[in-house]
Amino acid sequence: MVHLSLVRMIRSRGPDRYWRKRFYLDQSTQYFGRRRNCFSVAVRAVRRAWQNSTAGRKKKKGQMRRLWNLRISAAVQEHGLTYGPFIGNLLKHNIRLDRKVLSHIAIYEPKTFKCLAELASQKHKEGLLATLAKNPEGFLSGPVTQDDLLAESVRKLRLSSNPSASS
Amino acid sequence: MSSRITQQWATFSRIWYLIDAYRQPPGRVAVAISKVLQGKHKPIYHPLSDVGDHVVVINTSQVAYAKDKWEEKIYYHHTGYPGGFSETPAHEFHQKDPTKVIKKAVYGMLPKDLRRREMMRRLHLFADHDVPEDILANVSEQIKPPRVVPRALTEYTQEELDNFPKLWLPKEPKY
Amino acid sequence: MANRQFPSAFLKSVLQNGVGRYVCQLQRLTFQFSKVHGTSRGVRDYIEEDIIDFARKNPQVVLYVTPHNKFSSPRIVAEFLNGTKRSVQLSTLDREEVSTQVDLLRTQSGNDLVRIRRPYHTDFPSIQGAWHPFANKPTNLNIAEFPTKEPTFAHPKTRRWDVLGREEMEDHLKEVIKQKESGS
Repeated sequence: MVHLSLVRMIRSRGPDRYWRKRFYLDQSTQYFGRRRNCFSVAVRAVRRAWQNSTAGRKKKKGQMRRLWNLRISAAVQEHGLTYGPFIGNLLKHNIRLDRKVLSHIAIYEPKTFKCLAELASQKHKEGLLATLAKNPEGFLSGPVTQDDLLAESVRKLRLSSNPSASS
Repeated sequence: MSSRITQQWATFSRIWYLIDAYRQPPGRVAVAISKVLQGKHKPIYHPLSDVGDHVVVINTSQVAYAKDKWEEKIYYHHTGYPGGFSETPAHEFHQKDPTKVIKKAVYGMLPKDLRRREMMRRLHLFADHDVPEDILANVSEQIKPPRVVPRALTEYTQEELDNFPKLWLPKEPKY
Repeated sequence: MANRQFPSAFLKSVLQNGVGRYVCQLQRLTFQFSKVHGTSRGVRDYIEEDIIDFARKNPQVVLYVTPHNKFSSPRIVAEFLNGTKRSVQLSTLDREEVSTQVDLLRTQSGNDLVRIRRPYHTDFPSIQGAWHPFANKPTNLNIAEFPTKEPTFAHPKTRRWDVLGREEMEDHLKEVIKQKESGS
């Protein structure tokens, strides 16, 4: 936005009251009622607008992030996954796309997004859920560390590749 | 150029969903419905662009409140005039109009602004499973009800009862 | 402040000008100035010294030189290929400043000077085709009749039986029961 009034105020000789007022009134041209033309009301409205726009610059970042999260979660639900596992397991694959790009991919390149969702869901099923599936009674027997889970998933993969060994 | 315009039509096209409220809790049904009405199930969602879908609800007369909620839940209303206050228990409310319990639950879950009326116009409620054919012809997918439809013991066949996995073995009575 | 009182537009070029060949968008330049007035001095200098060179270098631009005493404040009126007309005030500018103004008009596209919303633009935002409601739907919905007993649209909650499968889980439970029976 270009504030021409301030330039003119510096340029003009004599009392600058006129240009000082023009500076505010130029910015209130689109306001409603007395907030547009009556200086004492307009100056308050314009200053409040500055405050709002300063606060809005910070708010906008959070709002946009919330919108991206919502869009990602909507897109990922079409592929049978939820937002949390999707984001977490993409990180485990070292795919470091941010939420803005992910939500953009979900809209404009849906087939790429489907591949990302499949990657994440595979990783998701390899983890803790695989161990839970082994013990459907609902408790994990023995000490469960990350190494145990890894060994378990490796064993499971071997079994699935060689069905004769399991039986 | 024209192909991109039709692409835009496809992206923003509305589709119709069906949901069966048979023996479902109204609140949880309303959660599922309100998300679809707002369009929050689409990656193109934006609060200012109207991207909600249509929802057809059948068997609303068969909704199931838990425990004593038919007696305990009370719908309050005030006309604004002196003495205009009224309170109706849920079972009476349901008898007056069997679609109203779901309608009110959904209405309360939608955003409280000018979009709400438009969204409510896309909600089609039917007390039983008789839906006009022109509406049913639009439906392209059915929403999974929030809980597995409960069945009474008498509604299971003998075969199902025999095959049901037993979690523990009843001991032999001693007498 | 990105407000609505000023017009805004997306970034665009004139028919991809300059990708294959470049077409100068400036068509006409009309110099309006006074023969005697002091504010027109720079314009008069420009016309005496530089305008012939400019005309030789840019044969596609038609030049009109219109001296008249009524033009106490001199200006150039530029007309572009897309029909826009733009006038630039030249009063009290010297010869070099007039020259920069003319060069600016020569290189402009004639599009309106408005706020540009984003510094990037593409006519084809999607390569694979943008998302639409039917993009990821299961294909057996095409022949499904409603109401159906197997609804497909649901919030995905990963439960244990989703991984194992409900039938497998029942088999597993039966095995556990058999083991318990044989043990007791």
